[in-house]
Amino acid sequence: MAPELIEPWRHLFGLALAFSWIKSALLTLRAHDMPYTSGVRRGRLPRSRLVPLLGVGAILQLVLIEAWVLGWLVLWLPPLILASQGAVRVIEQRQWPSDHVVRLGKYAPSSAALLAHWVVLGLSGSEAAGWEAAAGVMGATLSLAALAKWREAGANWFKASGMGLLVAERAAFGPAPLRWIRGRVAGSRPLSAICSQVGMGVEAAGVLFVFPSLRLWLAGAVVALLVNFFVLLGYVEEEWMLALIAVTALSTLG
Amino acid sequence: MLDLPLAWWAPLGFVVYAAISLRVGSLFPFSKYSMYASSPNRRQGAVPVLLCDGESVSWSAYERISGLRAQDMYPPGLPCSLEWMVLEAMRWVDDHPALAGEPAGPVQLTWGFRILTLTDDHELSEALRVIGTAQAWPRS
Repeated sequence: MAPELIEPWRHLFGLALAFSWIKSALLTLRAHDMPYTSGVRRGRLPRSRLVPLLGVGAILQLVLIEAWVLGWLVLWLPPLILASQGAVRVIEQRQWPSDHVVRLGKYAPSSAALLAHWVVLGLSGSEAAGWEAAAGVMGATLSLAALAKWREAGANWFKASGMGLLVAERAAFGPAPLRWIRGRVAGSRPLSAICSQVGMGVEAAGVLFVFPSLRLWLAGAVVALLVNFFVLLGYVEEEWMLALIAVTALSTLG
Repeated sequence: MLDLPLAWWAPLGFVVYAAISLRVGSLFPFSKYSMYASSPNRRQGAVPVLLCDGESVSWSAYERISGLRAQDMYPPGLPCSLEWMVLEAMRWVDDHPALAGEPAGPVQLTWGFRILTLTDDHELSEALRVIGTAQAWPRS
């Protein structure tokens, strides 16, 4: 693949990594300010001894990511980036007792894809093989979600009631147009069932990500699913979306 | 160097990542991706709510709170899929207690859960379960 084709997508992947780190840092600094309920971007940062630590950490992380994006020290920088991503999560989790943050779904798809790319680049010496492995990992993140749903609730995921209840619980929050949509979906058995079944189906189809010819189509479906998550459930999965688009492009272009 | 066909790496990445994730669970950057996986098994959902004069309000608008203990705010067994809201509310109440010796705040707050029930006919009903009341001052 020509370098001018690769670079924008490497930057997009780097953005996913940067987004992940900075979001964890902001959730850490706002841990006593209701960040999940009110958002992390509002108001001034609290005074905390963690501000300088995370500020320096953010600059270092951004420098490491940009250097890796530009193709410098590609076998040496990923372990440092991953260590930094892991460290900021540990700091974030320590703001809460027990495993609360883990249970809030602290997924790390961009770090998982970077790990796969780095390991396979080291094993094969091939950039293309690295991105193929990363694509396989992105597919696995989706299929694992479907597998977990099947193992814990089985065929109940094909019924309307589960999705209807999840959406109904969120119909009182968010902007008025989203509340209206959520109310309509929650109150409709066919719409709730379709949302549940399509969501489960798209996640289960993650295994098809191993086929390069299907990757672009599946990525489109997953992006639509992530938009649907935002509309119905209020969750913004920016990192997942950016990493998925970047890995799809890097593994199929050229 | 490992010289495998290019087409093998994606399935290999899929299988290895999935296998390790299933084995180790939530160990960065692995996960079982099980958020909400069991939620369709529920028939009821508990939505946390803070009321002032019957209107829904946010804890972040109040401070110097008395009359409600954080540890009493989340009774065990509630089918709540919005747990982060409850945990953050509990932390807020814990972080913003009334000052020793001062009178209780002028604002009466009611903390509870809207219990949503979805029947087999997809009929949604709602009931309020009050957990406790608190007095607080508007946040300056």
